[in-house]
Amino acid sequence: MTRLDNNNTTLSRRGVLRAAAGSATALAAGAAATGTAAAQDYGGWFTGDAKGGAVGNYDGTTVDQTGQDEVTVEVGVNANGGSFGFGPAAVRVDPGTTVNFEWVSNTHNVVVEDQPEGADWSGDEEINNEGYSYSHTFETEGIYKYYCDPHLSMGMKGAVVVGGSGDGGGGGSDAPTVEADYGDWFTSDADGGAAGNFDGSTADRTGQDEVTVEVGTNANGGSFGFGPPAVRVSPGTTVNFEWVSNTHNVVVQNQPSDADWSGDEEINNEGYSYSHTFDTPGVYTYYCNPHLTAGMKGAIVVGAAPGGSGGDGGGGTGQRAFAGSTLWKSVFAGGVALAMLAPILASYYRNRTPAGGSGGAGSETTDEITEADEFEPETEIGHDEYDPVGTLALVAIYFLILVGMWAFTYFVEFLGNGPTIVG
Amino acid sequence: MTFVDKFPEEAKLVRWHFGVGFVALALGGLFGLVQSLYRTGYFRDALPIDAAQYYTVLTGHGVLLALVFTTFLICGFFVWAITRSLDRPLAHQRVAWAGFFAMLVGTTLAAITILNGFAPELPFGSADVLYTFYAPLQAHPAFYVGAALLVVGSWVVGAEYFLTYREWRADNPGERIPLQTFMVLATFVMWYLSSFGVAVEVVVFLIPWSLGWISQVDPLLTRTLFWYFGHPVVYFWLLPAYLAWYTILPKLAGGKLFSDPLARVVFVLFVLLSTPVGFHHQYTDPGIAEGFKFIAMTNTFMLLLPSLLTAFTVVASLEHGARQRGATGYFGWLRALPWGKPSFSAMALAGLVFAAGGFSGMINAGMNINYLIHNTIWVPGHFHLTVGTAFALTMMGVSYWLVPQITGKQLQHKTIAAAQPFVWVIGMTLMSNAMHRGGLAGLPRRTAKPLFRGEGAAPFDPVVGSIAEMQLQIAVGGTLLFVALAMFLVVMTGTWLSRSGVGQLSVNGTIPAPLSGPADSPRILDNLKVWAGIAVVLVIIAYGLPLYSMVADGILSPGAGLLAPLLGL
Amino acid sequence: MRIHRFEKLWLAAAFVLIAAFIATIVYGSLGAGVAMVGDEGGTVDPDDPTASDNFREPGVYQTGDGEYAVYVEARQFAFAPGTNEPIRVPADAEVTFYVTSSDVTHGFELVGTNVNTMVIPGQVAELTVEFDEARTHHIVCHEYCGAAHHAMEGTVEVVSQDQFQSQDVPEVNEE
Repeated sequence: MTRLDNNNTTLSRRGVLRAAAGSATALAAGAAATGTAAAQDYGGWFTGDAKGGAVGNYDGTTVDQTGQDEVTVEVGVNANGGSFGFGPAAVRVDPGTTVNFEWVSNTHNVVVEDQPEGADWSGDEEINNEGYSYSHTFETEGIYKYYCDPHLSMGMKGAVVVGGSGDGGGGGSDAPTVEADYGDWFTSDADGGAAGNFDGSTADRTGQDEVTVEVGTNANGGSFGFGPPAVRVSPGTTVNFEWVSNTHNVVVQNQPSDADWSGDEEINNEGYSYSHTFDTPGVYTYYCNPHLTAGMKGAIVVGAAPGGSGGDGGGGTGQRAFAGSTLWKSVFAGGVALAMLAPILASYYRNRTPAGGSGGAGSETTDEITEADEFEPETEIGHDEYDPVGTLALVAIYFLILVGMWAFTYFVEFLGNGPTIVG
Repeated sequence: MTFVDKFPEEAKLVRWHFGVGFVALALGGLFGLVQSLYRTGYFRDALPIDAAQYYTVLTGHGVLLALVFTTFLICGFFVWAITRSLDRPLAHQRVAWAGFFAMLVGTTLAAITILNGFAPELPFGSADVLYTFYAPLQAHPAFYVGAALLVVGSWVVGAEYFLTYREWRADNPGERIPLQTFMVLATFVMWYLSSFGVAVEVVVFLIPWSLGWISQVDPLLTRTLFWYFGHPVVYFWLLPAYLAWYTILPKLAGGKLFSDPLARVVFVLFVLLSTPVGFHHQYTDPGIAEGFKFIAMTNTFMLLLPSLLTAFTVVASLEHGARQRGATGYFGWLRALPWGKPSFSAMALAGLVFAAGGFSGMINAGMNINYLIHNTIWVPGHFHLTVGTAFALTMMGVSYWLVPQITGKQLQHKTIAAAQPFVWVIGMTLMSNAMHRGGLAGLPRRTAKPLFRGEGAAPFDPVVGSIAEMQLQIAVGGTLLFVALAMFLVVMTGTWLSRSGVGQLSVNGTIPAPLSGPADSPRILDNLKVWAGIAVVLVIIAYGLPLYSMVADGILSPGAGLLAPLLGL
Repeated sequence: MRIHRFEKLWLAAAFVLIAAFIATIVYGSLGAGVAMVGDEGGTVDPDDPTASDNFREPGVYQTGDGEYAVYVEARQFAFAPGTNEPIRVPADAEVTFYVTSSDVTHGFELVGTNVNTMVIPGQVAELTVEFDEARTHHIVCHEYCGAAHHAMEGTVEVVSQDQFQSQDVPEVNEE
């Protein structure tokens, strides 16, 4: 299923969509986004590849509310496995429109992730409950991305598109365009921990000959970060990796098929540096081996950004729904295969030679089924002449094991496992 | 004369129950494999789920195996036990079929909502609430309706046992209740008393809440009602296994049950003590005074008594079989037992594993030591030994013996069947020992990715071994368990699809009389009304005050006063 | 009833075992001083825990000489404080945690210790702990609380008395 169109969006295509958006029907806030213009490019914001979870209530369409002065977005609608959605998740408004955010459930806020240059939206970071509302008037054209901090990981994310076009970035160049698509590299779904210092944005250093990446910056609960974690450079740029703390290395996780970066796997300390010139366009991901579990991961994008925006890490389709459908379909396919297999299996077993030996494959079916013969003991032992000494020995051993293990678990494992709750 | 020839209609009823149970077992087992690999990180990327869907898989695994597989197998098995031991057909077959279909519809509803977690684009609600469905995590109403129908369906099937017993009693006044019938009735007395709690939770609170009729529910009250049912349900699983160990296993060993009176005493103790123990799942819950936790603990420890008695009686019965085969010595008789017979080895190994599970159960029952292992992976380590082996493997052993009798078909793939119990036990040993040790190191249960990402150093500090080694054992053990499950299902499918009436069966349905019969025990043991009455009193002592205080501080919300939220509607 | 003498022996052994287990637990309570989480914490309105006298604004408070109170609010998928900023408490002091939830049921466990409680909306878990050594403890949520449950964790930093003195902790009177 396509939830999002991002890998092959081009400027010309967006132009067509922009025209289509104008004719779309405005719908009431929170209503299903049918009949609206689709496929606004949010650079992967609504997928699980951007920070936070995939947005289950974003179905690829942007609700068109242009032509209205006031628009309502509900905060905390039923979505994403609880009351964790913005309704609608993506909305298009005219410049100068006031958007009212209305809390319909508890413990949410509105945190701005990204907005066009020159815009001054600060969101509402205080956590509020049902009944609260907050509004902001959007003047500057472009895409505004926001989320709810407590429920970001559930996929409580939204976007407001102001004006016909949502693109704010600079101009393109002659260089080949490369989408900043890191898959789930910066999340804990990939190897190692989540990179806490990756906020979804890629530092744009295109047009420079030399770029510095610091190794071991303060991040991820210690000096376990690359600074910046994700950087975009032009082809032919030399990247200098400079160690600013101890015991790190640079291991290549993935690179374009025809690239030949080998990283620097030797573990080095503060003061060391290493550089490599990146010629092949594409996405390179790397990490520090000693601190992979802490989330010390990085990425370098070589090439210009599509549409000139140096912004967010894009991504494939919403991974969660995609993965689920695969399982669902394979279970279904398996069921169908099993149903087709059943007659074959049945005929196999019907013609199988019985193990009992009496009669072959075509032997007659008898009217009455005979059981095995009853077991005949060598010696009959009655209740009074029977002392279960073996049983007594076994249960005595069991008793001793129980007592020993209880004592060990209680007095060594439990009471030695302080601190303990004492009041 | 085989069971299917003598009681063809009852055999059909048992077949349907087993058939549905096996389908649930297949799907639930597949989920178990996915879980053990995803959680431990082996092939995590290759698995078609993400971290959030791990909980869908976990819900499916728990509900399909612990509720659906168990309930269908038990209800079917008991139809056989009642019919065989009373030696008469069911009194009102339609009642039993009505119960069966109620359970089937309930299962279907619940399964659809759970599986929907894999395909959010489908128009059903989802139910990623795990097997315990603690409010305020909310599932689609169909999930709760399904759970309620499953429980109520089992009540209806259970009514059939009592109706048949009543007819038998009218024809046989003054006779002692046959042992298997006594065990079935005792189990269901306990089941009615305890499953009432979850029925109230679901019907009074969760269904109206999920439909939006009431705005909130009290999390502590609903969870207390859940555990009112949630511990006795483990005895609902265990007692059918005991029935098999007491009445079928000695015969398979070539011996006789050592003592019928003690078997009855054991079941009476379970009727009395199974229900007033649920607070031992809530030792670390705020809002429940320490005294009530202590009452639940003494009741729980008293339940060791019937299980320890069972260990003795069943092992002595097996030893009797071995001695009748001519075995001698303190331990040499163990070798004389028919380990190559899958029905015997499955049940006997299940009993052995249960003895190990008994130990971790004692730790779980201890009030303050619960801090050490509460909600760690120790707990699933424990219940995979009990419901996951003592019940499941026993039922597999029962199937090897009973399915030929209810189908009239020879058991197929005997070699696979003979190896299967051993593969299961090896897998379970690997998985469960690692889970227990992981729990002592503080590894949490119910989590897609147990290793968190703080500060570089691993915060888990195992006593013996390493976390990585435990993860490997869990993954390998889980895989072996799935292999054993597949072996079992191949044998069952093959048997089911083969022709009936071909050749002699390899099993024999006769059950010899016990060494010490019911005449040696006082008649009061058979008076289930008395025991049920005492059980109710014990429940009131254990639950009366705490439930009252939870209701009195606001029935739908704590800290609001009894009826405040209702008036606020 | 006809009971074999071995069975009588085993019955007696079983009773001894049960009595010994219960005696161990009682020793743990009375001798070793392990207290159960009970109903002392009281109840709160789950939608607004701080509205009740039973729960303060989340944070660390000094309640007396060498006595501290830590109010923790758990919600999907964070402990406040704990997740975004560590809970800092002094060693060798009586620290009482008050933990509640403002959404669903959570767990609160310091890994590798016996500090372990359920966190239930509407109930306040009250638990007193004495930390002997200055070290960092990890908090995990051990009860399934939603799709990102496995990401819910936090930190308790136990620092020495001297180090802690320099910090500004509000003083309050607890009755």
